[in-house]
Formats: sequence, C-alpha cells, structure tokens
Amino acid sequence: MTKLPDFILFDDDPVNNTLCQITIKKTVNQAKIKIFTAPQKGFQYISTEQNNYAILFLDINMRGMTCWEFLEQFDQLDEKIKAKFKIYVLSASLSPADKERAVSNKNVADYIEKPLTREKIKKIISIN
Amino acid sequence: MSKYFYKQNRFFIYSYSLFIIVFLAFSFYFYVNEKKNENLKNREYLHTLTKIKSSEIQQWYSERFSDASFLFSSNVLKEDLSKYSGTHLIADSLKIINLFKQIYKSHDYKNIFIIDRHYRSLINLVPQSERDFDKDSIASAVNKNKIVISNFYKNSINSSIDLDIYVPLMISNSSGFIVILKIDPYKLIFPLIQNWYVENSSAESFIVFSEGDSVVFINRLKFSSFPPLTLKLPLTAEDLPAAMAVKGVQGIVEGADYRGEKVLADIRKVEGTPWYLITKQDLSEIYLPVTNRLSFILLLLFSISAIGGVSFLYFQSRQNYKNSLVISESNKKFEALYQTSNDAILIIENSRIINCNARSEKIFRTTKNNIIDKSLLDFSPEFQSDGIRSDKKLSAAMNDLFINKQCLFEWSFNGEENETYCEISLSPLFVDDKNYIVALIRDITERKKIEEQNLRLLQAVEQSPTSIIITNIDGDIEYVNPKFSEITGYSFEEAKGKNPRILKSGALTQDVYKNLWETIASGSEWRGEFHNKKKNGELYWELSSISPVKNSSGKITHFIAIKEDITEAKLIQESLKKMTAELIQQNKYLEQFAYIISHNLRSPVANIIGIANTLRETNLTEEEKDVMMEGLSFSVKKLDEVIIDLNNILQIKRGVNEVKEKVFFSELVEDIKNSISNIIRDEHVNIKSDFSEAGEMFTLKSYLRSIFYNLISNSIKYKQPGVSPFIEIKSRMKEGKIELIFKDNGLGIDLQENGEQVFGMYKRFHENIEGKGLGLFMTKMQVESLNGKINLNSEVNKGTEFIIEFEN
Repeated sequence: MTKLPDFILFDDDPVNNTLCQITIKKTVNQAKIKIFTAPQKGFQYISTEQNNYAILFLDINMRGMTCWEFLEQFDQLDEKIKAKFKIYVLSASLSPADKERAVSNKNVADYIEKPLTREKIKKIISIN
Repeated sequence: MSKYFYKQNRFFIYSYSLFIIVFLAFSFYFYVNEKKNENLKNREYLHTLTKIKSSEIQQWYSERFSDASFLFSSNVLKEDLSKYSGTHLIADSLKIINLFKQIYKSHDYKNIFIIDRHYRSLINLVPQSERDFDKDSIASAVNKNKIVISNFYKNSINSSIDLDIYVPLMISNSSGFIVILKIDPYKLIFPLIQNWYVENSSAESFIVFSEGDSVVFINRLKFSSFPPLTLKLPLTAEDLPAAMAVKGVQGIVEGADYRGEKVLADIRKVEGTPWYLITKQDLSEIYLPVTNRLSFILLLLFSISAIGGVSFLYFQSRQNYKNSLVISESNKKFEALYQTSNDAILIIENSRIINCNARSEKIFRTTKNNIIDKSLLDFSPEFQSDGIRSDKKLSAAMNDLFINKQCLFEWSFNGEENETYCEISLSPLFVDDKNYIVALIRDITERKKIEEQNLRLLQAVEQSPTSIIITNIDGDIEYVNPKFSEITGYSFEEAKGKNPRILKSGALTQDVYKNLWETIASGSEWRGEFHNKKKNGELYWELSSISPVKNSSGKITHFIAIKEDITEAKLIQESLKKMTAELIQQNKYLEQFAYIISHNLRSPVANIIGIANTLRETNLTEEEKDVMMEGLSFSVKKLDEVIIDLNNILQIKRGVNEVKEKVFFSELVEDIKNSISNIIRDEHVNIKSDFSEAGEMFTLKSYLRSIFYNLISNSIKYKQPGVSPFIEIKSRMKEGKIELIFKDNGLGIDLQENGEQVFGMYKRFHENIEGKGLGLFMTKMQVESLNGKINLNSEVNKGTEFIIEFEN
C-alpha cells in the first residue's frame, strides 16, 4: 500500500459526518476526507476535481438526491473517472431491500450499516 | 248448361231474335206490297189480253157470219141448187160444186155439204167425212129463215168437235136447201183462243158456255186431260171463274180454277155468241217473282242467321270447350286437392257423411265405406275435452253455422289410446238446389301437444326469477317477462318494440356493446354485466347472458337475454373492492411507514451507537469530545422528534373514529391566524380568504384544522426570500364537491423533477430550509382519511397552489 486512498462522504446528516470524520481520522492517519451534504455539489466535485483514488461513502436518503439517483448519474461518467472511486453505500437502513439494491449495483462495492466503525474502515482499507 | 248458356248469352239471343223479327216483318211487308203490285200489273195484263182475244173471236165469228150471209143472200145459188136438185145436170152441179169448193178452200172449212129439207144430202164436198149436224139448229134456221151458227158439239159419227154454220136457202115454206159449213175448231178457233202472246207456264184462255146446271169447257185445257167439251163443272162451284162467267160475272176475279188452283181470271162475254172468254193465270205464278224475291231474301236472311248462328255457336262452343278444359283442369286440381289434402274433407247431407277424401280414413282410422252414411258423432266420444256432451256441442256448432254461414271449433274424435284433437271448420255448400255441409277436419293433436308444452315453457318463463327479454334480429323487444317489468319498471306494453338500450345508463363504454353485438351476431353466447337504469332513473347491476336464437335452418331470428339483478352483490363487491383498495393503500402506508421508521429512526440511533463507540474506544481530544457530546445530544433529540412524528401519524389513523361536526372554514382560518400571529406579524404575512361559495362542511375538525395549518405554515416557511408571503384561500363548489384552494407566492416546487414525491414522507425539496418532510405527507393522509383528494400546481419562484376536493 504505497498510497492511501482519499475519503469522500455524501451525507446530509451533520452528526454522522462528524462521527465518520473522527473515526476515519483515528483509523487512518493523515487521511484526506471530503464531506458533501448537498449531493449535487459533491457529484460536481468527483466528476471534475478529484484526482486521487478515493473511497466514497454514500448515504441513501439525501436532501435533493437519493443515492440511487447519484449512482445513475455516476454510471454515465467516463470509465477513467469511475475507476478512481470505490463506492460504499453507508446507511442506517435495516431494510434488506435497500441492501440488495445497493449490492446489486455494479458501481457499488458493498453496503455498510451505520455507524461506521474503525473495524469497518480497517476492513475496507485492507481490501483496497 | 243450357240455362247457363242462356244466361251467358242473353243479350246476344235477344238482339238476334229482334233482328230476325224486324227482318221478317220487313220481308212480310215487302211481300204483301209486291204481291199487290204484281196482282195489279197482271190484272191489267189479263184484262187487255181478254179484251183483244174476245174481239178477235168476235171478229172471227162475224166473219163467219158474213161468209154465211153471202150464201144466204145469193138467190143465184138458190136457183142453181133448185136446178141441181131437179135436173141433176152435171154442168150445174159442177158450177155449184166449184163455188163451194172455192169457199171450202178459201176459208179452210172442214166440210161443206148441202142437204134438203128432208136432210137428204145433195152435195158433200168431202164425202169420206162425217155428216152429223145439229138438227135443232137446222130447224131453227129453217123456221126462222136465218143463218144459225151452232154451238160446239160432238159429232156423233166420229166424235170430232164440230161447229156448224147453217145457212137456210128456202125456196118455199116446204122446200129449200140448207148449206152446212162445217168448221174444224182445232184448226180455226181453238188456236185463236189458246194462242198466248207471251210464253207463260200457267196462263191460259178458254171459252165456256152454260148447259143446264153446268158450265161446259169448250176447248182443251192446259192442265186437264179432258177432251174438248167433255169437262163440265157444276155452277155451284162458286170460286170457279167459269161458273162465275155463266152466272154473269164480268171482269177480273180471283178464284179457284178447275184444278182448284188459285187463279186470277178475267171474264168477258163474247158478244154475239153464247160463249164466255176466260183468261186466267195462277196466282202462284203471278206471285212467283215476289215469292222468288222473298225466298231469296228469306234465304239470305236464313243464310245470314245460319252463318251468324253457326259462327256464334262455333265460338261459343270453342269458348265452352276452352271453359270445359279449364273446368276439367280445375276439377282435376280440385280433385287432387281434395284427395291429397292434409285435412279430412267430408261432405255431409242431413247429418250423414256422403263423401270423404283419403285423409278422412286416417283420422277416423277406418275405410271410406265405413265412414259413408255415418254421423260425426259415430266417431266421437260421449263428452268432448271441454266437458260438453258431443251431441250438444255439435248441434250448437250447426246452429252457429246456420247463423254465421261458417263455424270453427275444436273437436276430439275417438283414437287408439288418446283422443285425436281436431279442428273442424264447417261451411255450407249449395249444389243443384241441395244443401250440403262441407267439413274440413284438421288433426291438431301434435299442435295441441306443442301448445301445452309451450304453455308450460311460457309459464316457466313468466314465473322465472330472472328477467328474460326476447328481441328480434334488429334488437327490438318482442317479449319481456314479468320479472323484467318488476325490476326495470317498464311494462310489457312499454318495452315492446323498443330497443333494450332504453335501459342504458351510459356507465359502460361503447366497446362493451360492440363486443356484445359482435359476439351474439356471430352466433355465440355473450356473458357480462350491465350497469343499467330503471324507468325511475335508479341504477342497477345485472348479470346478463345473451344468446342468439336460431331457426331450424340455423339462421338467427331472435336474441334472448337472461338477466339477473346483481345490484346487491355488486354493491357488496364494490364495497369490498373499496375496502381492499383501502387496505392495500393502508398496507402501502404501513410498508412506507416501516421503511421510514427503519431509516429515520435508525439514523439517530446509529449515530448514538457510533458516538458511544467512539467515546469509549478512541482517544479523543477535549474538543473532539465536545463535538461528539453535541452530536449525541442532537441525535437523541432527533430520535425523540421522530418518535413524536410517529405518534402524530398514528394519531391521524386513530382520529378517523372521532365525531364529525359542522366546521366553518372562516373560523378555522381565524383560529390558525391567532395561533401563529407572531410569525404573521414578523414575516408580514397576508392571508386573504373567500368562502362565499362554500362556507362550511361536515367533517372532522381536528383534521381539517391540521390540513389548513400545514398548508398555511408551509407557504410561510417556503416563502421567496425578500418577498412577503401572500396566501389566498378560497372555496368553491364543483360538480357537487367542495374544493378548497390554497395559493401562495412562495418558492414553488419543480414538479417535473419531484412531482411524484411531493407528498412522500420525509421528502424535502428545499435544502436551506428546516423541515422534516412530514407536513405534506401528513396533510395528504388527513385529506384521504376524510375521503378527499389533494393536488397541486406549482412553478419554481412563482408559487404553489394546492387544490383539495371533498365529497360534500
């Protein structure tokens, strides 16, 4: 592992964002974390400005755009751009339907239940 | 036939007879007239002829007389004769003989001889001839000393007819000579009499004289074989012109001649003689031309009549022949009809059957011989099926026949097992002045059976608990049963001839009817439901089975619809459907609810778990700890909010059971205005309301208040920055429903982007504004709980308009 991936959070819940930020920081030193509460803005960013490889946590219910809408738009992006992201759906939902829907999407790596813990982050990093 | 002929040709016969009568009358007139003319013409002719002849005879007679006078006055002759008688000198004799020979020759006498007073012959010029003479005439001539011409007489010696002239040459009273000049009448007088100037078959003339009671015909007659002087007829024959003549009649007479033939005769006395000259002609000959003409005319008439009659008869007979052909043809047809008729045909005279056709044998189950001379009653049971005695019923029928000239009635005859039901039609028949009755008997046993069967079917149909409609091929109603009338309110009379579309409520689409018609017209049964309208306007549901009815050749003639009223079942079904839909809706809500709970309830919980983990396991700076604690308290608060929301939602579901009341919209608005008066003041909110069209409704006040509150507060919350909120609320009636309209000038919602999610739970469309996305969700739930609908129109940065529709 020569280079650590960046972390990007898509969630409109500020409490969750703070929690995730602290947890990621405590787990991965000097991790680069970017947080978007407005999904449109976040999408704009990833499709144009993000250069480094990144792990993307995507909340299901966001104001203005659901994760499914996001994934649809994401799929339209250039393969090169898409290759830069590893997307994890991060949701509090216990609904198996949500989980299945997320996992079955080809652009989604896995479904992670909230809260995001250090163990979960470690596991993700170990894979990547 | 002759009567018929007479009747048929009466006019012709009358006119034909009249023609003949007129013609005959004309002919008769013509005949009589012509006869008269001919008669007159011939009278004149006969008269002239008679006159001429009589004068000729008279002249001849006087010539004879003058011949004789020459001798009578010749004294020389007297002397010579005296000498001759005394001396017998030849010279004197020769002289005398020569004289007489000269006379004899020149006058063509038959003989001349001279006798003396003692009838001794002195000279006889023709010695071989007879020497008879009329002594009376001689005596008269001698005594009176004058010339006497005797009448015709028969010579007694040789029976010839003689006429003598006696010339006395008296010397003294006792001596003298008598010269007898004998005339042969055949030679001299008869031709004169009988000579006729014109060829004529029946005309003749003759002379007669009277002799005692008879008239003597002198010359030979045309039509009689009697020699001259032998025919003598009595004077008593009055018609006889000869008799008339001697009785002194002169001139033209009509009479019957010696043959008895009718004649026209002219009678004339020949002066100076004892004779009467009669010229006569047969009337038949006189009238012959007339008769001929008449005959010709009659023959003509006869020919014309004969030709006319014959041709008439010919044409008539041809016509008759034709007629007879037609009649025989039609007779044959009638005979065929009679024999092959499917009805028994009986001819009845005085209650007895005198003739019957072949079919009768089948109905009576016996041979013709056993039918003839029987009565209908002989083949009938004692009582008819209607319970009346057969004989009474039959005599009633006869009476009916007598009055109405025909009658029709049902009758049963004895049969093998059951009675044979028949229909008898009686009618009178008059042939040759005789009265008969013709009975037509039709076996209706089968028909009767079918009728009974039909009656049962009809009763079944009439009493059917389902309504039954029978239409013709065009769909016009021909029959409806009482159940139909009971359900729809249309009586049979009202429905008849109408199309079943009178029941159409308009609730079904045209396609259903199209499909129905296509199905039944193709010969198949159609099943389906109708939402129909009764006569009183009430709607009802019925389950119909409509099938085509085909005739024996497979052609569709009618349609039959059997319908069951399923209104009640349909209502139950409808309510079940509604209930199911509601349940499905509820279920959907529940699912959504469960989902939202799982998500929204879990979110703060997950945060709390995460924070708790972090706080316990991680070395956090003080600053980080503070952030975590703040996050924890926020999450807990959020968790509580969600629980409160849940409670509210559950409250709505429960609230349906509250009591409805009359709610005035204006009161509701005022109440809400008061409760949020500080916000209204701060935000410069302007609320304008107009409930003039509908001011109130009977509903759950708490729900309606919540709806009003949410919509008003939403409008304020999502106002355009820097623009004072303006809210317009009004009510209106639309198709019996109350519409409430909330219109604002706020941010608006992009409906193209978010249309479907507007009323979703926890849906938020404005990132910058605080909100849980529960207000519109709850509003919709409440509206629907009150059986209403909510819709919206919106345009970004212009405003939003909510329209709520309630059943009144």
